[in-house]
Amino acid sequence: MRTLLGVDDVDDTALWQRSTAGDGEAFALLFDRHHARVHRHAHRLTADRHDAEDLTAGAFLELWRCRDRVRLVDGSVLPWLLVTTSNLARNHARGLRRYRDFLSRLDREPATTHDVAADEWTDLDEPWAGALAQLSAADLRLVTLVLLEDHPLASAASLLGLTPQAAKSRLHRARQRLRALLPDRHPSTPARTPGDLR
Amino acid sequence: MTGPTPDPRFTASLRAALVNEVRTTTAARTPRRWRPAAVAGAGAVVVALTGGSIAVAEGLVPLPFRTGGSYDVALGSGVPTTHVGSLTVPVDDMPKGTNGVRFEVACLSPGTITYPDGAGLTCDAADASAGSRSLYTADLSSEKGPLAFDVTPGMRWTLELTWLRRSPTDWQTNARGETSGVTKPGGSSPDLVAAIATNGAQGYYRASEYAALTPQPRNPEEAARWGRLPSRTVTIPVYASDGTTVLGEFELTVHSPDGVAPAATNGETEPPRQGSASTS
Repeated sequence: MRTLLGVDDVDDTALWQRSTAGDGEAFALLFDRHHARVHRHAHRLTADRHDAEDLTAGAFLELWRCRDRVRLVDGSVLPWLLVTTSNLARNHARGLRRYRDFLSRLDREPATTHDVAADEWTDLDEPWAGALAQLSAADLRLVTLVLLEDHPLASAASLLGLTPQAAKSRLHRARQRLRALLPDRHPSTPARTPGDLR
Repeated sequence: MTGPTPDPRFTASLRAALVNEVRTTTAARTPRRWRPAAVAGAGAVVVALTGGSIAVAEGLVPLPFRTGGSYDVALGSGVPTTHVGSLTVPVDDMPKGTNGVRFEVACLSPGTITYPDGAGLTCDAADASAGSRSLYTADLSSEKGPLAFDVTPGMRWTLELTWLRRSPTDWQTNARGETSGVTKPGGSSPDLVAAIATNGAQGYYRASEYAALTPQPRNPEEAARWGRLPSRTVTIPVYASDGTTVLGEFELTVHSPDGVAPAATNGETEPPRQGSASTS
């Protein structure tokens, strides 16, 4: 089985089944396993630390809310989370509206210190956030899984309800669109950079 | 992996809140459910019902349990949109392979919404102010024309629509010849319906025992009248697939009319716990 970039050969099936039966700690273990990757993707979509955190929370809340229709891909909930993060980012305010109260209750570090590292990541991700926002929702979902997260095209197509050929064609067009939108992409743009753009 | 570091306080707080969310909402999940009226003659009647066996099959039962029903794969996750009055949803962008659709509807003001297949819901002012939500899953016919929602003029409501690929699975049959699994999309039920007991055991309740406690209203007015009746909690056994070994109990919150009320009640009116469903 091909694994997602940076993800070990772990299977979420057992944890997911325990979660859907009401085992909160099992759901927390899924959170531990995937939240960093979801946050990374959310930051690439928003170039904003706070928004990325809200999107990350929203993705996991959606995972729970939509638990009866979640599909595991190769035993992982991560592809579903990433696609949902992309969907939420398309309309940040509306997508997270249902979780406004939930998010407002979460504890956060006071924004009193200047975080140089965070600023650097923002600078690096801003071009990507702008370019990805130009893609259609369907293209963004495909780009998320295949270009940014190195997921097999066939599995991504299946998850997104596309034929492999349609996914290939759509991905080709999306890649060209990104090339045009990111002509001077910085070489140190953080992983996962779509190296296929070259 | 490399990437911006999320706020550790936020992450810890979110983790704890998610654990709480899973624990509390699993216990209290009682989705309002509306389904087509079983009516004779032409035309469709909108009948308001709350959740039942299908809710359990779709909402609480893990995938290995889902035999005899429909294994639904969401082809993308929708975003709620707000509407006023009737709505027609084009199907031009429907993903290839779609053969079902799920609606999550919330009433923002009183009125009636009739779904494309004739099912629907009616919300009064209390429903609207409470933000009552309804989940409904429907098969799509091969024609797949636009989806028309016939809605009371001026009614405000939200719709989250998710395209589905639905794959039927087979029921199992035990030594007694009883079928077990989940209710099929068309409405037919096995003899033993998959459920999770209040003690967490996964098993099946007997459909005949469930049906005896859940008479169906004959028209919208009766459904609305029943819905205003005081609720009470009743239990039926949860069996292993052999249909005889009792694993636990399954709770139902029943809004029964006089004369149809089940005899064996515990008198509680609290929200159902895990393994329960609310039904009219």
